[in-house]
Amino acid sequence: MPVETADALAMDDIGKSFGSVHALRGVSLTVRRGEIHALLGENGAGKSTLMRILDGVYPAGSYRGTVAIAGRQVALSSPHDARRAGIGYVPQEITVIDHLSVAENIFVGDLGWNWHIPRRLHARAVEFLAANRIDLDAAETVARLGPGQRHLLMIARALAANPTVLILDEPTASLVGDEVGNLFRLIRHLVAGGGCCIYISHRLHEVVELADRATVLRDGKVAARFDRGFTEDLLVEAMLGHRPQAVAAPATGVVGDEALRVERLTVPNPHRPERPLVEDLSFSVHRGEILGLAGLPGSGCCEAVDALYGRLPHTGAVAVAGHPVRLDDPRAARQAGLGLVTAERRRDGLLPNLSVAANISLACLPSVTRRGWMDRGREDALAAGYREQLSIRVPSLAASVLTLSGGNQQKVVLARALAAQPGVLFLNEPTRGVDIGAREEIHALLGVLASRGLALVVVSTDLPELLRLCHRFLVLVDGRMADAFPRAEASEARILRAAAARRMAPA
Amino acid sequence: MPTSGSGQTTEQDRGPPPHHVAPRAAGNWSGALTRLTGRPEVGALIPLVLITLVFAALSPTFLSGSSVATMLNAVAFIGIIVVGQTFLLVIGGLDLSVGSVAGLAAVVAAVLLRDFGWPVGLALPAGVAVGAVIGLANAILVVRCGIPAFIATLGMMYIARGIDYLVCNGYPIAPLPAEVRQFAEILPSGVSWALLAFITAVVAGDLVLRRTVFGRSLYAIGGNEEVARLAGIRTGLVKGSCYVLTGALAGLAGVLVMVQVNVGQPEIGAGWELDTIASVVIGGVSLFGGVGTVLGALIGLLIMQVVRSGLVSCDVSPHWQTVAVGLIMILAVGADLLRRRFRNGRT
Repeated sequence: MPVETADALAMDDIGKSFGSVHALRGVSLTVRRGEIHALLGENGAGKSTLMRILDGVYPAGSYRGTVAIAGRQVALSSPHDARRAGIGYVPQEITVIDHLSVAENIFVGDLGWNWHIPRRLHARAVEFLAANRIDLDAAETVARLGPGQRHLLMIARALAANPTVLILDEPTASLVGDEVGNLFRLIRHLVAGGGCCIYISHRLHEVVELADRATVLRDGKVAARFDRGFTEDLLVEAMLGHRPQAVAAPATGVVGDEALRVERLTVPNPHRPERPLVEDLSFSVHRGEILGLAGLPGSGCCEAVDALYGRLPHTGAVAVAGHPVRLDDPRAARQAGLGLVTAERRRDGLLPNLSVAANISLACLPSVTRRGWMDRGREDALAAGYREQLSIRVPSLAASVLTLSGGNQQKVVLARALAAQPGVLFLNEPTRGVDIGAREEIHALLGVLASRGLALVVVSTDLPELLRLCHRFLVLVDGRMADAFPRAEASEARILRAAAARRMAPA
Repeated sequence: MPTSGSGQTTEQDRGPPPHHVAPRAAGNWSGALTRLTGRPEVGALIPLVLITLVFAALSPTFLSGSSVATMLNAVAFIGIIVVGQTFLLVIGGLDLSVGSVAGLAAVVAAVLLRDFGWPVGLALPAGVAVGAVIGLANAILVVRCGIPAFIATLGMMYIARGIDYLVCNGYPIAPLPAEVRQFAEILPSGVSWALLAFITAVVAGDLVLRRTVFGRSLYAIGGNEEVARLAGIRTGLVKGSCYVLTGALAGLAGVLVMVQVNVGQPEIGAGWELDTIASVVIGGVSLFGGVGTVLGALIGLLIMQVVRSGLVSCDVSPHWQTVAVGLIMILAVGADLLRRRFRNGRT
């Protein structure tokens, strides 16, 4: 008999090992009704393992300890069990069905064996979305939704099952501006009604703003528990186990020759010819300079960078180190001395089937040959050099790249781009899904690269990151430049105001 | 409470010393061992040895010199194509038209020899060229037009077989000029042109796949084509050349069958498309691309042949061979999946 006063969720003394590796040791987590509980920790601290236990991915019996939901002890042996027991898990990766409607996606787990009647399902979805104040069109085909809306849809789908505990894993990674605020309102609305939420995020300012309590994991153990009144600094200290060292802002030092000049770059929109993705964008970057491109999703930052690396058809004039170049495909861009670090490691950053060394050498294969044959010694030497330079933590260069943590995977992608010896490097979300330690290291490295004369163009939705890294900023709105200013005039507020400016006005 | 092994770096790690190469001494032995057991072909080598030993125990003549030579000559034709098929599976493609292409190449070469009086030195390369041309057609359909490889090459399988029968009007092309027999008999008995071509193809294919930039590009494309493209690899060209190469190898195999049997049989190559794919898959090459080696595919091919010949030498009905091949393929892939799940479960 569940007791009304019982905690919504009580995980007690959980232990889980993989072979000889202890992923979790004696971890306890309680979440009360009406509470937003933040679960924090660096990548590899054990958050995902703990949540997979709760989601039934690691079945009961494969770990030690007990799980109780609403006071009743449960043995979850599959995600289906977890759903029925009241766990609503919204993973970080987008898992929606593209060719179905929003309504069908919401109830996809709950269609039953009855005839599928779209009209009824639609009505049910409209009612559900309104009741939960979720701003989605039930009839829309999911393929047309942006990443933020897709994430919202996944949350709606989880909510539709009426979960006792809602788990949100990095829910704001693909959201911006208003969407974040809307999500927070949605979560608060949910817990006000007696639900509760486990909130996992690397964005600590959000956690401080939103969460009632927090549990911090480190090395598979609970490092700290916080009630109200925690600060970002306290959280960081608990996650790292020591005070973070302040990273010196990159020197706004000597800026060299012009490395890249872009004039009137226009990237047509294949679906809406009257509204190009990027329109008449002109800018230049100098050696030793880090340029930040800021804007909401759809503002054209990513598309501008993709076009300049030859991934999208475009018009306009581009000169690299003073020489005009044609960037018809990535190969041409690479040969012109451009490099790109893509935003999504899994989708277009990593070769999952190959070793760390092979991932690093990919863009400069001819340089690791001897008389035309691949030379393992040279390849390993190249990779070892970057392992050292980027502090890539990997037991062996022959290990599969998938065994690395997110931060180390990102460093591998970065190493590959650097190994091609570019003069201009584009970075799209250089530290997305990367833990704090690796993030600091990557930021420091980018500063060093700039000081050695590389020109960098960084696109990031993470404004503190941009502000910290860049010497100069461009803000894009609807594919056009809305504002440009040097570091001295930059602030989060100025970027946000510029980025949101024209959106407000009727387009 | 600070714990060790949290993977924190110290600040001095950050000043990157350019290209300092760490000394590599210890740990290479265990590394080599992991590398060996981690290789997909090892999974296939053990059953090959076991199955061979079982048949050798059941039938004393099974491992005799002549029996082994017969087996090798029998796998040679398919073996030539297996090399190309391995390349294709590594890039995530496949070619179902190889059998028909072999038949067409054989018949075209036979017609050129018999009716047009071409010398062997021209007619046989012409047969190979026919294979390459059909491979090029496959390449254009798959790479340029974006038709799935399964559909494009399945269509080509019918087209090539149809043309094959049109060229010879349904009848075997015989008698061939005496020159053909003479060409086959240059070699000492027990060795065939097909065997030589097979061994050459396997050795060259293995080297290309493991030791060249081209080979690495194949793995990159099979692992993630977009990543390969971004790294500056000409993915279309690389993929296309795999189809052309496979077509040419299929043509070569067909022509060599014709030389061996001294007749331009239109049925040459029937069923080879699935035999080659089965061999490659049994040898640990993933149908999803990015994984596998020529050596593994060779082992897969040998497993199939050992089981077939072994059953014959034990007087089992030949129809059981077909059942056995099917069973082996499912078992091999199933075992590979289990092995992978086991490995992944531990990491």
